[in-house]
Amino acid sequence: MAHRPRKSSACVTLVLIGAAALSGCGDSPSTSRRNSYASKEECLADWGDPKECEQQEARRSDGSRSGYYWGPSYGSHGSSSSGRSGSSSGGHSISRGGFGSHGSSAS
Amino acid sequence: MIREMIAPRTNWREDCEAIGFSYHSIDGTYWDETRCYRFTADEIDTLEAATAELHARCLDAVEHIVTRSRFDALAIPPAWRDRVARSWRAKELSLFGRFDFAYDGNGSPKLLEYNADTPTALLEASVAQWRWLEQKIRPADPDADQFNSLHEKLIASWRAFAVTWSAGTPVHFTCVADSVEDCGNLDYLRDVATQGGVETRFIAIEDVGWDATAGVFVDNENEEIRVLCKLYPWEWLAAEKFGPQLLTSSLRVIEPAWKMLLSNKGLLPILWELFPDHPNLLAAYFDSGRIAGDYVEKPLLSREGANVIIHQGGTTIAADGEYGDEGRIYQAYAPVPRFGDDYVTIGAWIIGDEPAGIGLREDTSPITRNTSRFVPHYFT
Repeated sequence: MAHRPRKSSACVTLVLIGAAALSGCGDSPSTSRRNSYASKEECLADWGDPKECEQQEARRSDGSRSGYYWGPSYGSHGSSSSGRSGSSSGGHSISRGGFGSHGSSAS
Repeated sequence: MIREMIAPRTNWREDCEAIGFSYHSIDGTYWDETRCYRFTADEIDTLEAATAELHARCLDAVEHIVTRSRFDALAIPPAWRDRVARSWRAKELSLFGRFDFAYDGNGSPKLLEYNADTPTALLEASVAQWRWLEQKIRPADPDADQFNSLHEKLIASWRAFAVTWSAGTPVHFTCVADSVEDCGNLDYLRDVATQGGVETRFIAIEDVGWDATAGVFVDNENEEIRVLCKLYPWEWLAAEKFGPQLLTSSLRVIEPAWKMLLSNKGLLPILWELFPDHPNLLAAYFDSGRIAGDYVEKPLLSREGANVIIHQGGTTIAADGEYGDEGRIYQAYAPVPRFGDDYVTIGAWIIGDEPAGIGLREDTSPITRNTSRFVPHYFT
């Protein structure tokens, strides 16, 4: 009898969530967050300091390995605790709260 | 397809929590490995083929709706029709969707509905039940398998997405911040996106900002959001204060706007009109009174079974909710299989354009709700 190809994943690795990873988005507003970057250059473009960019390695389901970078932790809901650069709001009119008036959307 | 009552792993709670599946016991029991479903390989092949077939037919239906301008039937607001059509004609990529089937292992799976915009139960289908298979089933039966290649297909899809925008463009992931289930699913999407080479950031949906001067959406750092992956329905976005800005901004949204046509229950009568007597479809109409036997009423925009009414043998079973004013469709009733006191529905995933796995939901009601328990499966 011919051998059937397997239909389930050979390996499932997580790099962000769970025990080995960062906080999820359901945390309280004061919980810090980190951005992930595909390359060190992209991390440095945001943060400037190589010490702020932490190299990580992910093993994919096919056994190959790929690298990515963590930026430093920063506060959510606009409460950045670092010197992270962002476009200035000077002269700009920014409003919030225009989305989210419904609720949970799972289906 | 049979149900087996089995002993749960002694460490199942810890194992779920180790993967970020913190909502395993939401509303009492959600993840339920006191039982599982065992399929034959032929049954899984049938489900996989039905998923691929319906995905293709749904794309046919989108083309039909756009070219024949059937937006009225789906109650798509006039202001949004061009936005939807542009999204389709631009071939904006879709990440995922989940077909819900009535199937008991005999005959053809019947499509109950298509969760095409904000499908959830993804982390549990992709990761939690895979770990259950590896820890509970395969040690005693190494040849046991599971229809579940969601993880690698999601990573591959994100790789495909990433080449469609400028290198280094971050993707912002958003949902309602206090919904633990939505956030669990969203965090998982962030995880596989990162593994696919995508830079990811989180923003609560209520924190998304609009820079009226620049005409762009911005995050908490006032940086432009160029790509937004949302677990928040399109019809809600369209109806809210910032909805009009979505019509003109260059924001790329995942899922794309054309998925509004597939997440709408009006898809079901259009599919039946285009493909009458298709083995995977149930008769469905926009008008009441056209189905002689038992039938189900479904609001066009209902989610998680809300406001669904089953008319069976002179009795009705109704789920509460806040939908229905937008219009309804009427679909022939196909009973979902019952095992003991429980009804079970099969959610079949499409990732990109490929069938990728299934997840089963059990409930004591024939209407699957957000509280329906997730039960793992395997096949031999």
